[in-house]
Amino acid sequence: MTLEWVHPGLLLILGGCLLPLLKGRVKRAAMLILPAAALIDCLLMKPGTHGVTSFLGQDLVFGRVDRLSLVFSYVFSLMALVGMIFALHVKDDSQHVAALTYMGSALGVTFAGDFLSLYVFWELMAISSALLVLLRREPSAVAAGFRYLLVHIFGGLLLLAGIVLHWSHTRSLGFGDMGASSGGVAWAMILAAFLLNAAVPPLGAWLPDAYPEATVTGAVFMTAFTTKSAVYVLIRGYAGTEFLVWLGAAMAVYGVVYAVLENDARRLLAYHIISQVGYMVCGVGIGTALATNGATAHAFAHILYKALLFMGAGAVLQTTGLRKLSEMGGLYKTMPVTLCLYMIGAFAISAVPLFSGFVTKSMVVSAAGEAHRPLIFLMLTLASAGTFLHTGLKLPYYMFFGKDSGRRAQEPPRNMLVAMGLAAAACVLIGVFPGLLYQYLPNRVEFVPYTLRHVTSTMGMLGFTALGFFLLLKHLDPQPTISLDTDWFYRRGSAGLVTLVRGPLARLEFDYVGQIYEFVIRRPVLGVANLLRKLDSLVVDAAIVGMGRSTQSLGHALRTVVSGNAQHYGLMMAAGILALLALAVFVQ
Amino acid sequence: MVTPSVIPLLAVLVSSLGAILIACTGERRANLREFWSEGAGVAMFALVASMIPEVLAGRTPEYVLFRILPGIELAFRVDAFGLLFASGASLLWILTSFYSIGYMRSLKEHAQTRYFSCFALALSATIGVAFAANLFTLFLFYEALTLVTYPLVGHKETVEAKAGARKYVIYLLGAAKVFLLAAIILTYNVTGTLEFRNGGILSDAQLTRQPTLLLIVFALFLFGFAKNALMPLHSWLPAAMVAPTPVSALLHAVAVVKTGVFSTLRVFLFVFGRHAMRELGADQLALVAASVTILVGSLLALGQDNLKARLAFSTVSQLSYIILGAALLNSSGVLGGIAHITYHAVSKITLFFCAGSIYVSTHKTEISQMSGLAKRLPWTMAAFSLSSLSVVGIPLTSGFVSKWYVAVGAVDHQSLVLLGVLLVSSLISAAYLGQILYKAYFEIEEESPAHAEVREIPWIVAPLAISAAASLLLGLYPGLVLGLAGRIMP
Amino acid sequence: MNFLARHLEDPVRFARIKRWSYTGLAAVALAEIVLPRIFPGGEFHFPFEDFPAWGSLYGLVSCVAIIVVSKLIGKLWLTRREDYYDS
Repeated sequence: MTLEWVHPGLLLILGGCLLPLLKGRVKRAAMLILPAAALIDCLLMKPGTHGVTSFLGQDLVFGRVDRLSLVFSYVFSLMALVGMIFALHVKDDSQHVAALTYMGSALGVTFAGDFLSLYVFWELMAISSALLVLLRREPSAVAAGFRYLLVHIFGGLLLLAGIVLHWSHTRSLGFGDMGASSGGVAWAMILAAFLLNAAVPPLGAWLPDAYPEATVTGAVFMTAFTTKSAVYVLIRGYAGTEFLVWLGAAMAVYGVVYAVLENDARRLLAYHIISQVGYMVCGVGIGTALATNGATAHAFAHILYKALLFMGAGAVLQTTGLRKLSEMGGLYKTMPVTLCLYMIGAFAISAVPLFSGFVTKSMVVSAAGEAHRPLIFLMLTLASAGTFLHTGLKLPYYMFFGKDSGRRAQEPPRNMLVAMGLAAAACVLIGVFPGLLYQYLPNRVEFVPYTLRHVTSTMGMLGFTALGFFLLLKHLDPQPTISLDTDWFYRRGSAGLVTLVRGPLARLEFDYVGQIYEFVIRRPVLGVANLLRKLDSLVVDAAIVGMGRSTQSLGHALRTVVSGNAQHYGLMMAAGILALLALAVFVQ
Repeated sequence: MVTPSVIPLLAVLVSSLGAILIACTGERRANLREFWSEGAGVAMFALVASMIPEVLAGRTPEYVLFRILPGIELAFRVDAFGLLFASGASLLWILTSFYSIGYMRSLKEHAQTRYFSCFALALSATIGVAFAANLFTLFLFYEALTLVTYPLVGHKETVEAKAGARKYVIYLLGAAKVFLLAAIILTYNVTGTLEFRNGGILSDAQLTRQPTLLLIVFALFLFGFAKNALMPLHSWLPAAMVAPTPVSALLHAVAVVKTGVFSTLRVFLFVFGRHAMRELGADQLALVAASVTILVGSLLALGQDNLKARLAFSTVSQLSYIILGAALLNSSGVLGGIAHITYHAVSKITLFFCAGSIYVSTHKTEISQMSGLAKRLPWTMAAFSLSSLSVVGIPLTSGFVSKWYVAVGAVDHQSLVLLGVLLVSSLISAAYLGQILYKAYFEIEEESPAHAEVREIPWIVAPLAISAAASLLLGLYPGLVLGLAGRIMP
Repeated sequence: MNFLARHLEDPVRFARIKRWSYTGLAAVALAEIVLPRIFPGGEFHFPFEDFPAWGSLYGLVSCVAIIVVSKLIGKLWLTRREDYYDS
């Protein structure tokens, strides 16, 4: 790598590794300087191809810098700064190292020009984000973190399979538009891996499973990077893929439907991530210049307002220890600043005019309109109503207002409020001056968000959604339940697999296959040995013993010969000599 | 180009000499005895390494001891493949010796002289296999290795140890005598020679005349080399876990199983050759056997609570990656398989070193007891993490390099099923290794007064840190191993 | 914040807020019907967007639909006890 270009991701990763060696003020300063440096690095970057190295005989491109990767890098590094400010008070160094590695890898994914470097950073992201869940160290968090890790390793393996297949067919590892191999196995596997990270159902159940279990600060980081880097790679490689349009619209509705049933505040927000990413996926699928701009812009805005929302819910969690909506309420009395900042985020996500969501979400919806897709348009608009319903009405109502839970908490630490304030400011700034964002979008922007019709229609939609909410308020009371998602398959399935492996398979292995030597060799060998032993004792022994016995009885018999009588001896001697003479004569 | 050289013979004999010196020195002067072990290891590695430049330049050192029958002689010949195996084994022996010293002394084990001298003899036998010029020599040293490791496996002399050692010896000797000997005799019968040649020693005429017989011979070789832990003859490996941990490290990484796959690959590439294997359909047989072993091995590993048993089944599974890679018969697959011999050795030895470290420091053997261990044994668990990443095949580690090549080989072979086998097994290994890691790092340990005294032992920790670092370095600089491995295919 | 507490706790003030809210809603709906007629030229893509108070109507319908459908799916199929997975 040449010195003219410094990879902002490596800056964060290597800087993160050095962090535990520092102490006190210096460490906290470093925590802020690193992401700030990365941000400045991104802002100063010029388009081009940088950082090309060779590995395993392939060219790896670490620095593909163009309008698309630049705009994502801006928001990623900005989010890194905001997130680190939010996490300034955390004493656990491993969380900081994990977070910095995670964010650095996301930047690595953004600038990756070839599949191999993409894969390296993809896996690094998976592991470091899993750590952000595991480091909460509660039993439920450890279990959720392990599940998250395995799901993402599965996704990584899909990606690897796709990459290997792609390389085998094209002999090139370059990462660009995949339209040429559309419909092939490699295309499908890589797409599946990208969709998994984007939390597209049915592959997305990991997101609502793991995000509520992460640490307060960890969740804020996680909302920004995994799903949005997946959106980035989708824009890069799969723009215009038709079935993504439907997938995205379905996703948008799916998220808001599940959110109605949710009791855990952060899980509800997690389902909203799925809903909002649906807009982006839909935009990728539509593929026009406006749609791509919309997906990018919406990703930009989403990172900031979603982080703000998670920061708000996280602040409540931190100061009260509460996570379930059924237990919260009445906090507006003691946490007004948090409430206010949270509401800015809520207005942003709901696309209230003068906030960032309004100028970005409308791009995607308009793109659907321009592409003459009425059903998609209706689904996306429905999801908008749902978004306001949950994030702007239900969540703040039950968290801050509603039935007073009697809890009196203070505002969270100052660094958390500063971080939230920064994000809120960005949301408002983009909403009021959309051109600030539009100038960085990959394609030229001719879109005008503030039209009279658009503003009035949006205000009407929001207003009457609120009406519906208050009318049906009784039915929305949060219940202490959970709802099943597609993770049911692998959660029940893995429990079944483990039972199978510990039971029948283990028995097969240890009692049967493992005893092959027992049946095939040991028993026969011992059996033959036994047989031979019996042979030995019955025949050979018997023979020897028999010989002994006969000798004994012969001896017995011969004893009678020894009578002690001299005449007998004389007679026997004579008989013996006669016998010998006779023998000698006859043999002659 | 064959050059006569006595160095191969010396390399084999130096540790036998070491064994004699160890036995003579005995328990009274334990430090001198340990010095002979280390000295023999260093000497052996030096001898082996001295041949690397020669082999890279294209020469083949050879030494013929004596001849029994025409075509059957006891001879050594050093080519890139044997050299790769021998250098890995001798280098890891040096590390294992340090580790053994720390381990045996901490536990105050009995019969250390017998242990160290058998260890040295085992290395002699291993190098003998590596440098064998023909099947006869290979078979001789292969059997010698089984016999010499028997006292090591049964070292503890408890009832279980004796039963485990008995199972170990019956499987390995039985398979060798019944299958392997027959295979060698038949090979001699058909071809008239037992010499190794790159590309195979079978002629096309022989292939067309007796394909069934040759296929049977292949199967006899494949299962006769039971040290390669192919199912269903793999059960000796989990049974051998009764051995002390450094012996397990030897078995799994340095010598025994690696001898098995090495010999298997020798037969694939230097007795049968790619063309013959394809003609006979032998590659299909090997691929199926390897795939089944990979999947079932990793599933069984998932179900074990005993740490060493889990690692044993993991090895059963990983070894078949090597066989799978080689059986693909294309340059990628073979390269990946051969590279995996080294990479797996380095990662697995680290894992076993860690298991031993855990046992020495805490006397824990079951994974369910290992909550919160990382705080007590930070270096051990860090090394465990790094080598686990390598076994799973995360990029930047060495395991990724071999997995990449074998995967490319599978795709070049047009088989999505084999690719799937590799990847499913990777996922399962992430599960069974990841469980150990999250327990150690993120679960709260059960309180116990004994915990205050738990420390890591430097003699034990240093070797495992080195091998863990090697796992990473080989991944970042794969050229070290791939350079030598790449010369093996014609 | 005393400001919020004062307005929400006091029933008189709360009733005033409610009245203002309903007025606002009505104003918005009216604006939505009337303003596009006065200032034409805003782009719209589909014929149904031209329906008077389209946004308000669709907003109300969407909200009710989401709530009703979700609760139905939940009750019939998806909802379980909190400790469902702990076995």
